[in-house]
Amino acid sequence: MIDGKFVLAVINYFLLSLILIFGIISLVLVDQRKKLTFLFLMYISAGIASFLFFTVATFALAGIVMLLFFLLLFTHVFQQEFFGFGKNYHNYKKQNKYSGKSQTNIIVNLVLSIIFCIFIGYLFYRYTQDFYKSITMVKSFSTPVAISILDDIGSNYIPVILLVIFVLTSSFIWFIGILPGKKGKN
Amino acid sequence: MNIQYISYISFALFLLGLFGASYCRSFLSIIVSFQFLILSSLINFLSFALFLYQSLAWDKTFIIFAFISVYILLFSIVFYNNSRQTHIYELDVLRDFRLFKPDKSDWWGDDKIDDN
Amino acid sequence: MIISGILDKIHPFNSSALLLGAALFSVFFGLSRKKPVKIFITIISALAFAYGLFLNIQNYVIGRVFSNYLFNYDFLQMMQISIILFISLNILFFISVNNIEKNNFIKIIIIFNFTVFGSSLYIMSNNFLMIFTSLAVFITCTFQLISLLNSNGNIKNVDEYSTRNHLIRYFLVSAFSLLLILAGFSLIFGSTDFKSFSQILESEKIDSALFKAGVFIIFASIYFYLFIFPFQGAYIKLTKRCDISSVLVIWFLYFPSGLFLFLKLKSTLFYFIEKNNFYLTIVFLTIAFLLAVGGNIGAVKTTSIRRILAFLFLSSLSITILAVAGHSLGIIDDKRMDWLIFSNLAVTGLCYLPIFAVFSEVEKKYGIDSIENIKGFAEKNKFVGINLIFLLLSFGGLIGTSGYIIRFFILKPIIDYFRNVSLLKTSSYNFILMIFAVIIAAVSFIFFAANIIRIIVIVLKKGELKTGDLRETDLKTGKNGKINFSKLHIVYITFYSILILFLGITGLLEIINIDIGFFNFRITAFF
Repeated sequence: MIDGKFVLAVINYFLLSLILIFGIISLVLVDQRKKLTFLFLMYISAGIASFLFFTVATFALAGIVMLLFFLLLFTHVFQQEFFGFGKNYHNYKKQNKYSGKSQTNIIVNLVLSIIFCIFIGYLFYRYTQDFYKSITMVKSFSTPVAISILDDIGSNYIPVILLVIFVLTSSFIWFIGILPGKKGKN
Repeated sequence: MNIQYISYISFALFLLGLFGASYCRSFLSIIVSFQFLILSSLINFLSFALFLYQSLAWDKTFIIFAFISVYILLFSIVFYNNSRQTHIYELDVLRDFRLFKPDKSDWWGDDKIDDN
Repeated sequence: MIISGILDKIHPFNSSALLLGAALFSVFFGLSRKKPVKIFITIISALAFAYGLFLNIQNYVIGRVFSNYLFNYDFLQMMQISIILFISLNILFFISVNNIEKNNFIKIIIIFNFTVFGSSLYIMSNNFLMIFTSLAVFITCTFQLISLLNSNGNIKNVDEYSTRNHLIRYFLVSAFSLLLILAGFSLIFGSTDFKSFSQILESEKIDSALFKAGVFIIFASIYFYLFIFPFQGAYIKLTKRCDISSVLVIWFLYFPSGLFLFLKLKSTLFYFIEKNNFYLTIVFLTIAFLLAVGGNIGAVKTTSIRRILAFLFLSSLSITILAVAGHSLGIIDDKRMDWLIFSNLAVTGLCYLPIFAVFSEVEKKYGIDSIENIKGFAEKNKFVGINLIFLLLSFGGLIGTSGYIIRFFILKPIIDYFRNVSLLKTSSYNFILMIFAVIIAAVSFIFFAANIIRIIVIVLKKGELKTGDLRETDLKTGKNGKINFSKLHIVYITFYSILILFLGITGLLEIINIDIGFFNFRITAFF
């Protein structure tokens, strides 16, 4: 019977699959700009999925920080793509085949990584099956509102807030110190 | 919605991140792999809170502070890389940043300073 | 009165508050490039570390333990914070000596203070959220500190380019291990909403599959965090290339935080050891073997002093893992295991700091990091040479030195086991594991000692000065290749030699049950 819960479940699985698919595409692609595009699409899917988990407020608060990070990442990548010297030459070089030894290394590396991940995945699947059969889920879904989350932070986690403020202070001082001089290039 | 399937999808994302971190060479690919690990943890926290606990605020608090602290670290690393660009494509983009690279000089013998 | 009132209120964060105060005070001078200001800031920071260390010990001695929702302060935390503060005082010395001419020296000191502050909060944290956030903050501050120490403006040559790359690679591995910890906590959350390991230990949730998966991932993250073989590449490469003070930050701030995370999970580990001690013992013995063999082979095959010390540092971690394996086998109790972990860290620090002080001066004088530079060192610099040899012997475990005491307390339970074992009563699996433990301990200690003897032989060997090089050597080092150590260096090295000697003799007398009545506590006693 198609009801609200069924539709919700379908959309949920669809979005989670989208996250996975965009992630795989992002990892497989070689071009940096396309990588970033699909990474961004993956995060948009995650943001929409957060609606289904009823946790938009949490994702939004965390998303502010993620957004700043992505701004920097995008700036970094576009600086390399648009102002990197010798890009066209290396795109031409890439069309030539790899040497035999490096191709073997790449294949060995790929196979080992895949085998390792499959092994870990199999172990996780096998040993957690019983756990999922035995858990009791809640009868109705409920999540705390943003105000109660902020109340919880304010009453119990002041030291953590202070720690974050201090690391931001430290980072600000570091930003000033780490930037190279205006004159001269690397 | 079944918590088991959601958990397996999130673990698949975790494995994808693990694969990327162990195999990928470029800096951006490794950062992208890290995003998979972060997203996988996020999905775990949110799905477990929704299906197993009633109105729990702790996991949301954890996510907020964990994300802030992790992204400050990643921001610092990317910023440092950005501030030390040579603007030569081969040196900046095609550089091998593999986290776990088998190299004879990591086990014995000497390595030269310019051995990258 | 007012100050003591404030200090009472902020207990047990007195030392953290002092560090934070020193950091914030230094911010007002952050842009200054004047030498007197730099010296002033260094003195303020040193006083903060010293007084923080004193307060930390005093607080515990007057019987003030602390526990709340986020933090826990007990004997273990007091020891950890004391070790970190003591070592930080030494690292401050190295940073000041090597970087005081830099324009961003005060910024380096500020971030160094923030790093140690983050570390002190991390040590005391108990709640999962606090553990993760403080560890992330600590890694961030460590990255910022090391990058600032290695920052010389724009990249001018291949060396700086290489250092940048390996610095990024090293901290990408740290970030990876941090994200594994996040994943581990998310799985633990699936099994229970308890917020600390102590709460979970008292519940039945500890047997949940998701909890075990989460704990396994966290232990795997500690493995990557400590760059244990075969994942040591980024660590070995960075220690070879980075600034002198950065190496000490990596060895004595970064690595101990990994060990402290392991100690936070200790009770959980003991629970699983009770259930599966055979498989876990095999795991620990394998890791100890990898560290012992990998570290020692790497050290013996290289001619770079930094790489030798880096490999030997990893090899010294095998003693820590052997202690854990001993507990898993049931021959070392948990308090002795704690003692061994702390003592190993302390002895490594007490030996490495002065040894590295000598070798870093040699490296600065000659401009390259090669073991050839210390050929005949003892002949040219007699006083420092004797101290160096003594420190190396202590690190190698010569009888009567501090290094020996640790090896004694690892081998004694094994020897007692074989003396008292009855083959009919003991399990054959246990017996085989004990034999492996003996072999690994023997390989580790003998191979380690061989590496140390190799360095001592080179130090004692007569250096060959080629006539063509003589003038260049004279110009760099003074007459006939002698290195002129400053008085500060000589006092520093001598102080540690005396300290190591004193600890070694006191420990030896305690082992042979001679009470000299000097202290009212025993340094070989477990907590």
